[in-house]
Amino acid sequence: MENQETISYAAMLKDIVNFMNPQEREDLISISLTHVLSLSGSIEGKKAILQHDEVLVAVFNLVNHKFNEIAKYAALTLINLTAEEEDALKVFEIAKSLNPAFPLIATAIKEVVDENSKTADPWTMVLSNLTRSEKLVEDIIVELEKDSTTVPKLLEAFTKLDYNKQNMKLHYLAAIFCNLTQTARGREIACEDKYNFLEKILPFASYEENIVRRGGTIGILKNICFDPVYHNIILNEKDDILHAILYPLCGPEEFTDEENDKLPLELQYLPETKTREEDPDLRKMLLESLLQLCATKRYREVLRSKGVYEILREYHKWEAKFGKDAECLLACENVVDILIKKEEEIGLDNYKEVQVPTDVAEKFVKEDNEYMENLL
Amino acid sequence: MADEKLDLQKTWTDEERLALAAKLDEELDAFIDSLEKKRYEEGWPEDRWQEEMDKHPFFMKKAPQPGDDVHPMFEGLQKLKYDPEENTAEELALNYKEDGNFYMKHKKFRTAIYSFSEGLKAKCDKPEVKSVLYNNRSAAHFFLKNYRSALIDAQKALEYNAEYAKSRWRAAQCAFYLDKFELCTQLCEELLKRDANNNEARELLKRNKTKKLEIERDQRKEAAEAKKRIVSFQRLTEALKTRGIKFDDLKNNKPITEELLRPKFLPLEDHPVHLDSDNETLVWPTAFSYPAFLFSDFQQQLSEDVVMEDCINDMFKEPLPCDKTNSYRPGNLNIYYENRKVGCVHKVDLNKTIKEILNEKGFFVTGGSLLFYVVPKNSEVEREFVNQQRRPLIYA
Repeated sequence: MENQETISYAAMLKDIVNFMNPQEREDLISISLTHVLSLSGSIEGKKAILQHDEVLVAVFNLVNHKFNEIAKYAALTLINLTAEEEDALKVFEIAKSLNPAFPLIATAIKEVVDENSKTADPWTMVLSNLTRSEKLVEDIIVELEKDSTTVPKLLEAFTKLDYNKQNMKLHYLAAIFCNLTQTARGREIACEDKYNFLEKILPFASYEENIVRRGGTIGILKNICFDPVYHNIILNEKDDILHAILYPLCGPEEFTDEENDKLPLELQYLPETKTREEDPDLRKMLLESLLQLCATKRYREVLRSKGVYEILREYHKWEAKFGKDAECLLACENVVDILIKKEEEIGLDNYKEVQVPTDVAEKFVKEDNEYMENLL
Repeated sequence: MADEKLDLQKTWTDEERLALAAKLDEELDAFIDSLEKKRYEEGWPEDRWQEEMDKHPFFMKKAPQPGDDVHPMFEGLQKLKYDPEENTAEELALNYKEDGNFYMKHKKFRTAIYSFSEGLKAKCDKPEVKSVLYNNRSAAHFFLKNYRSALIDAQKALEYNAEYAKSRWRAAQCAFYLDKFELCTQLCEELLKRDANNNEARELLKRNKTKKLEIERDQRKEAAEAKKRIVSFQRLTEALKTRGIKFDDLKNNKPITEELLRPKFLPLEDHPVHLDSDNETLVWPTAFSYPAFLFSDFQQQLSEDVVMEDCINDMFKEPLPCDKTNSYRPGNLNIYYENRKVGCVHKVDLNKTIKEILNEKGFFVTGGSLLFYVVPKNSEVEREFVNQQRRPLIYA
């Protein structure tokens, strides 16, 4: 049965491709492309399309079509086709293998940074899909760095909310940056002085209007905190990163004047209207970032002096009563457990250097799970 | 004519030359002697030569100030330099610019501003001239700390020359001093975009950010404190109302204000009535007056739970220095309060607490404070105090 279906797809796709030639009548292209687009939405359809390179090639050939509708459908089809990592790799390989090769990444970048592009948002999502695969990130970063103005332009496109004149929001740029910072080179770009990358993106960690933008930014923070190489750099950035991590965890609770004085400036005397990050996954990522910062003695001391314990004290009360997310509670306690210890008790500079045997690690995970069950 | 020429060309002997010279000398002397004898009056009189020298455009040390009488020669020179009929608009503008720069060098910023303004009035259309004049006037304003004017001029200069780095940098500094944080950030970023190594701009950007954060923090802090003050004042007025505290200077149905509660006795001024940290007990500023000595003792923070007798015993542990007869001793004293509304006095039951005393029908808080009178029992002072004529307060 399944076999039969695949065959019928094949026959249909073969017919359709003929109408997808850019020189065809626009209405014919439009109808056939719409069909391919809808096919790409189902698992089976996607599979069929990816088995027929000529369909993909036809889609590639339509991304620059003068009819915006057609160019947009082509890009939307590519979003669907690159949604799974495996498929994304395949699309990338096919594009590369063509003669001449189809510049998939370059096209995506060009559309994203083009202020007047009407397909910038779909392309941002295609690029976000492609960057999810670690195997591709390296190639993509090479492409990004070919022209020294590309990264600054992407940053500008991200930080200037009205960058695109066609009302494209470009929220998925956060996801792209987040994916990029999963690699060492990506983190290097984010922390290099010349782009001022961190300083520019940090405010979006508390961007209430859109969770993709906010979540992506928090993901970047977490990626960077995970790499102790950058702890010194982000430590020097005044309290910027600390503020970005802590602000979404702060609520309206009042602190004493002495406690307020410890906090980063932006967090002092927050108004009674202040609310916390509403998404538990994002709260957890923020807490995990803090835990990563706790790895080194130097940063632990900074965290203590900046009143992180006081903020988490109030946060924990809130999470237990209102947030009610066991994983967040545990993540919070993990940080607090380290911060309340004196350095003499901890007795080592870098937690990351501790070797944990696999069986012990497994035991810890099990204990954590049991513990969480009884938390709420 | 030809003859004369010939005559001139004749060769002269030395004697002939000398004779001619002597003759000419004679003629000149005769001419001078024949002139009318007149005094030389145009010279500078000896006593005022210095003044005259200062007025002379060649020698003057100071530029004449607007309104001064100017030397006619100076006027002439001025006309050459500043007359619109003698100069094109551009020449005029540039002349004023030169003047302004000269004054800038000598730190005469106000005069410089005047010169640059005159330059702008010359209506020279060239953008490079206008931008320089605006930029320089902006600099002069900046030195005088007129940041608002300096910013406006710097921005004008940028209008005529978008790449004027000096103006942009000054505008950024002005924006910083004027707490225009967004503008300062924008200008610094523009500077850095054009020169990534502009460390001054980078530094200002940081300072600007910190200043912004501090001011915002201060505003949040202030708002939080204001809120707290309002809440605690509400609690206080609630406590006063539930106790039915009466004020002799509060008209009917008027709300209790902070001004009403501000103690009018100087030593009590900083201690208005307030709730103790338990939020339950009122603490009162209190005056104890001695009619015999015309002075008062003050208790800045007297809890309403204190019993009057304990308070008195505590106060008179040590004798009063002015009490020669040693009559102001615990157990030998009567305490009164005055009801100014009806003009009479009430004796205090020493076993009562302050709260209970305040609850009595005739007790009124006066000038934000409690006022008691202390007299020795059965003394002349007491009799005099009690029988004193009191006129009731009359309210309109």
